[in-house]
Amino acid sequence: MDLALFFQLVVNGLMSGGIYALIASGFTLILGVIQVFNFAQGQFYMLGAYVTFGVVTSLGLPYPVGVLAALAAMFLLGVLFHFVIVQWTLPHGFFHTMLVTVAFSTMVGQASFLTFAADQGLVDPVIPGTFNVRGITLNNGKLLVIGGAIVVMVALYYFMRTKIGTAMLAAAENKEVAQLQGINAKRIFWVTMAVGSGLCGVAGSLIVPVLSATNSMGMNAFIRSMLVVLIGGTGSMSGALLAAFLVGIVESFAFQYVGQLSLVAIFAFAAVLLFFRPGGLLGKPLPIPGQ
Amino acid sequence: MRRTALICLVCVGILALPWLFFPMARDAGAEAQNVLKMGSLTVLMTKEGVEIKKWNDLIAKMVNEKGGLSIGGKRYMVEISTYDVGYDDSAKTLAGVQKAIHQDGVKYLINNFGDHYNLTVVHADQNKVLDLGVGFGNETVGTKYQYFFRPLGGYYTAASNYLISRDFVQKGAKTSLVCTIDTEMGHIVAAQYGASDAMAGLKLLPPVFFGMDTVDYGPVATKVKSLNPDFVDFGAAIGDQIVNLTGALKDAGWKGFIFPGAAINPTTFSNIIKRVGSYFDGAEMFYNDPRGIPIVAKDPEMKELIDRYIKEYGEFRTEGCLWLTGWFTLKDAMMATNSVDPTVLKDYLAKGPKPPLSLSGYSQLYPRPDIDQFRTTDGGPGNGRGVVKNGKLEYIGQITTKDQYIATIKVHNLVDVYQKYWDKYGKPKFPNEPSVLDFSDLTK
Repeated sequence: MDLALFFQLVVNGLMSGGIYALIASGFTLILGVIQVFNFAQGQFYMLGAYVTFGVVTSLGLPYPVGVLAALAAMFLLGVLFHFVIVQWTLPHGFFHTMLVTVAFSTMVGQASFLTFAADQGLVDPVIPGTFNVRGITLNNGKLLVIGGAIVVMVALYYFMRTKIGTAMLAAAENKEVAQLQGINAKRIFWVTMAVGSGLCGVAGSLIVPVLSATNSMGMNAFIRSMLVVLIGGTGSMSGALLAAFLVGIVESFAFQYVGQLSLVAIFAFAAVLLFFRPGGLLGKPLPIPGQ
Repeated sequence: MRRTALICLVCVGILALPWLFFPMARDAGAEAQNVLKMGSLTVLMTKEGVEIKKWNDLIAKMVNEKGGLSIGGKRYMVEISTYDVGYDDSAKTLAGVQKAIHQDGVKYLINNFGDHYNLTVVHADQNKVLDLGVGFGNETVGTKYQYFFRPLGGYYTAASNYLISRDFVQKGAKTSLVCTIDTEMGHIVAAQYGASDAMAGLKLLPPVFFGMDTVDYGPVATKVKSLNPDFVDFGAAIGDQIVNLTGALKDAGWKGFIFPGAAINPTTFSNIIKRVGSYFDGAEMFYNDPRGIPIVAKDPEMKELIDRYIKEYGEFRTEGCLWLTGWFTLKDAMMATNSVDPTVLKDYLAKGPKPPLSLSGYSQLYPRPDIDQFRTTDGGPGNGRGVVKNGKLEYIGQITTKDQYIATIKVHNLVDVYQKYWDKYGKPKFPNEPSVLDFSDLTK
């Protein structure tokens, strides 16, 4: 294989991985702490992209304001989602809550179809152009996405070591014992949902100068981010980051050589890996209700 | 107890009677008011669908303001109901077509876009509803169905690609590659467009298909670049796929000629320019603004329609313009036959009707001797052709229905088959407009 092509495929994989990592960050946080398999995560990502698009294009405000607006809007939507829906189903178990998130995701998807109709959102590139090194090209906007993914993951890593982060981990470990230690588990749960949703909003806003926002973008990205979280390990930030780049690279090489079967290749990769490491690369196996 | 139950049953029966007879009563009422009930199956989550609905409403309003259509000594008001059937969604299409036919009494389906047309055809035919629809493939226009015609068919469209490919060949292109969606339609279009590219003298490279769920188009663009084509044809790609693929090709450093497919609309176009700027200069595509298509712009009926659209809706949008051929075909057929009977109309349409002018040009119905269909069921739609210059689309010529007919026969190597048909029935008579291709091109 041509060496330039080989490195281009690796770079492509890293770039795709950056996108998946950003979406997976919120997903893995919520799954790890509240143990909610949130099917609506992709929709928060899609809404975040549209919020940024609306703020930048319709209101004419600067792009950073669009990012902050997406973060704030999805943070608030996450709070609402938790108090209106999730908190009522949490006591009924993992599958009840998962089904409710499927329903919510469908509702948001349909509502977005009705609201945005056929509007494809795209904001002007934040850092226009490409960066070329010995025939390997890198889109500046995608470099920003990779940078954003790493910053978010590092920030989350340190956030989990703060007082509230430690409380989150404690509540995730054992809600009752955490409460006996004076931790307000209810508050921890809604904060987690809000932060996880806000992160998806940021992911959407970082993507929208590179890829246009569409109604279907949420579900497409969610499938890959779900694999990323399962491969990386539930609740593991560093695992998600590593897995995101691995999935991106596998997909990049697979598309070059088996074309449209690349998604099959990713699933095969995930199946083999989870067979040998059920807990993923750096995490724990998913909790199985009743065991 | 039994007497009470009997009384209840009788009461329920009496209450149910109006429901049983309601459709007939409503139909009788409609007949008395002379209303022509038309249905349009579209996708309201797309710009095209929204625009088609606006045109449907406007056309009905304009016709009715003039007292309706005068046919066979009677005046008929027009009612065009638009049904949202999702994009290629069989469940929604079924619900839409059943509501249209059985509940709303629709007798004609026109201006369809994005419906699951194989399903629409079956229900329309079973109920003797005239369906002037769209689609690819041979099954719907074969001998199986009597009430289906597709003035906006995908078969007689080879000239659209051929003329664009020929321009690129003249500018130095030698190889072409179709990069499109991995769906049934994507594969049909890839085969069809690829054949047109080959006819123009381009060497075909293996097509690249990508999933509808593709998130990042970087790997797709890298694969395209590694195959090193001079010209990339996006085939059946739509909306954001076109924008993201163009952006990824630019990022990958690929340079060459682009035909972004048939489904490009002004929103997609402006997003491409926003994303890649002058990189898109030189791309060729369909030109769907009737105000810039000479043969349409100078026609009084079309001009009146366009002016009224601007008056009613403000800014003129072009997304719906291509999809209104069904209405013009139906109206012309009613005027020519002096009848509103779907059976009379389908017999007229099957015998080589006079081609109607629509907002994108003339569209003519042709037979398909290659599948033993000698009724004129399949349309060759004309449309404009444009090139991108300084971020704007400029009209460079018309792809006529005659061009479509001749190019398609040549692309599919069907000259002998059609020659036998012409020997028996004669060659079709085309509208009076300048075409690039002629019958002599079939032997070159």
